[in-house]
This record gives sequence, structure tokens and C-alpha cells, in this order.
Amino acid sequence: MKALVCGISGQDGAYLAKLLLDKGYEVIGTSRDAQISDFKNLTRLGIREKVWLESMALNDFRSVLQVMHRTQPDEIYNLAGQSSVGLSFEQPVETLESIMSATINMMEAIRFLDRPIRFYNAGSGECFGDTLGVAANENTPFRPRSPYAVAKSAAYWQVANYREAYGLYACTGILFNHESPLRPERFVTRKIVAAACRIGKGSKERLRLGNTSISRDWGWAPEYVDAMWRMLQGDRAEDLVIATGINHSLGDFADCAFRYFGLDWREHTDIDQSIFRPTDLPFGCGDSRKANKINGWKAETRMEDVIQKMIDAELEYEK
Amino acid sequence: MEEKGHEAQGKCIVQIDPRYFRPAEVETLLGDSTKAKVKFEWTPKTSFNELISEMIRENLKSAEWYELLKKT
Repeated sequence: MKALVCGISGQDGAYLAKLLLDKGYEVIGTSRDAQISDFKNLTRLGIREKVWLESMALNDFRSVLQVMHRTQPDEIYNLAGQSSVGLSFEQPVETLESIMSATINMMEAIRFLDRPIRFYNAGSGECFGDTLGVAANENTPFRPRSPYAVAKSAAYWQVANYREAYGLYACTGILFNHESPLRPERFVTRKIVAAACRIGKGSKERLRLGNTSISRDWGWAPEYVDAMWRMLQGDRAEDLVIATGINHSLGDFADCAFRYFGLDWREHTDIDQSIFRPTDLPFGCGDSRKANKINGWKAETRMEDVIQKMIDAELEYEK
Repeated sequence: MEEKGHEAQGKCIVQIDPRYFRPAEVETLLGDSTKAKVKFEWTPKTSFNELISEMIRENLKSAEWYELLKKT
């Protein structure tokens, strides 16, 4: 079996590649420029040499078609595109094109090649917007509140449309937040863990955070990429919500991380209004019962364990 | 799919062509504009039949003009 993983240099791409390789797949990964990307995450997971890398420009249909035609994959996992909600406010069009237009390019290429390729698209719990304190499931309407969420929502509907109109095996995983040691430090979870480790070891720095009362459903990334693989193995393509179902505030996250070192996060943190987002979701939580029913997936790792694992890895990595 | 429309002399002038079927279609579209009515008193004034009559009237004018041009 051959899998094409678009966006292989990110957190999910690396863990997914490892999962697929362990299952005996041949894995081809893409990034915009495979020659100059460093693929640090692949190296860190020890799979850099086991993956074939191709350059693919998502917004260039020619590039997408050429790569798919050349690599002849059985499964395609689209994890590529601008991935920062915060940055999307600054780059709304780049975000829309790299997420929505890219998805259309890939599905059009699949249609053109006319081969039975299974397509997984990366959706996001951000699409639901403010669910007023209720965990979102597959029937919850989308109310996106950022250019990133709008782009992901549009891509979701494109996938649904292509599945219905052309009979493609194409589906979207609506994944809620999933963290790991491979998260870049600009993601607040890793930023908090890294700061907690440094401060725990004696650093006098201050952690700068924005709105700490926002709450999210945080899971463990390696479990979530397993959900992605499961979604392409069924008889039917189905869009599914992937989440732990448990909600915590960012303050809780910071509290848990700092307590690992016997510290109170509030004593080491400054709240900076300038990094509050123009619009933000006060509450995010997902209900994955349908995924559990359809393919048996369930989140085993809770936020506290995620933080524990991230801290252990951070301390290990620094050695 | 086999439906046809004929004019008085029996010539077929409306027919179903599968090429016009969309890959995915919405069978029913119906909107509720109560909010617009409440917020700024908008209501539709032109009925379905009036709409069609108006469009036919205009198209008939250009069709007659076209026929006239063909004769000259």
C-alpha cells in the first residue's frame, strides 16, 4: 500500500508517517520545497530515511497533478496548509488558498486520474466556533470565527460535495486540538510546557500569555493520526469528530504544567492584552461517539497525561 | 426524463437533457425572510407568475426584433 502524506514536515505528518510505516506502507511525503525543508520531526522520530520526499505546491494544480500521477498513491492524507489560527488573521487569503483551494486541487487531480484513491482531509474543531458550552458532534453547525476556521469549513464542504457529486472516497476528520513534543513553540501548549521547564530549572524569564480563560479539548497527537488512518479503512467515507470530550481552560493547562515543578503558574506569567485574538472561541469541546461506533477509535490520553509526556520529552530533548 | 413540452401545432419545444443535470443538486430551496421584514420592512412584491410574465415580455421583444432582423 502506498500513502501520500501532504504536509509531512508538521507534527501530524511525522506521526502519521511513522504509523503508516509501522503498518508496512510505502510513504511519500510532500512539502512545498523538499530540497530545503529540514524535516526535523521525521529525523526526531527516526524515519527520515524511510520516507520518500517530493516537492508539491498545493495551490498549483500542475504540481499537484504531476506528483499524484508520478507517485500513484492508494491513500492521500492532506495535512498541508497554513496551520496557525493566530497567523490567519494576518494572512487570510494565503490561509484560504493553502487550505481550501489546495483541497480542491487534490480532489480534482484524483477525479482526473480516475483511480480509486482514498482521500483524507484535515478538518478542525475550530469550524464549530462557539458551541455555547456544549460538546460538538457531526450534526453541530459550523460557525467559524477566524480566517483559518472559515478556510477549514469551506474545505470540509468541498470534500462533502465531491464525495456526493462524484462518488469519491473522500472524508474529513474534524479533529480537536492534539498536542505532542513535536508542536512548534509558537503553539501555546508547547510554549507553556517549554517555559515551565526552563522556569522549573531556574530561569527568571516570564511567560507571556493572552486570554487564559479560553477552554479547549486537548488530546495526544499520535492517537489522533491513528484516527485518520482508521477513517480510510471503512467501506464508506464518513466525516467524523475526533476529540477527547473533555474541556479545560488554558489556565488549567498552565497550572498543570507548572505544578509538575511545584510552581504556581500565576507567579511566573504576565497577561498581555496585545496577543488576545481579534475574535476567539471561549469554549471548544468535541464528541467522538460516532467515531467510536464506526471504527472503534477512542482517546485514551487526557490533558494531564499529554502535559506529562510533553514535559518528559522536553526535559529529555534538552539533554 | 421522458417529459416533453409541445406547442399548439404539436412541435416539441421543451425537452429534458441529462447533460444539464448537476453532479449534486438541491431539490428544494425555500427561504424565510421574516428577519428582513422585521428589521427593515422588506417584503417581496412580485409574485411567481408576475415574475415569469415580466421575463417573457422582455424576451419576446428581443425575439421579435431578432426575427425582424433575420427578414431584412
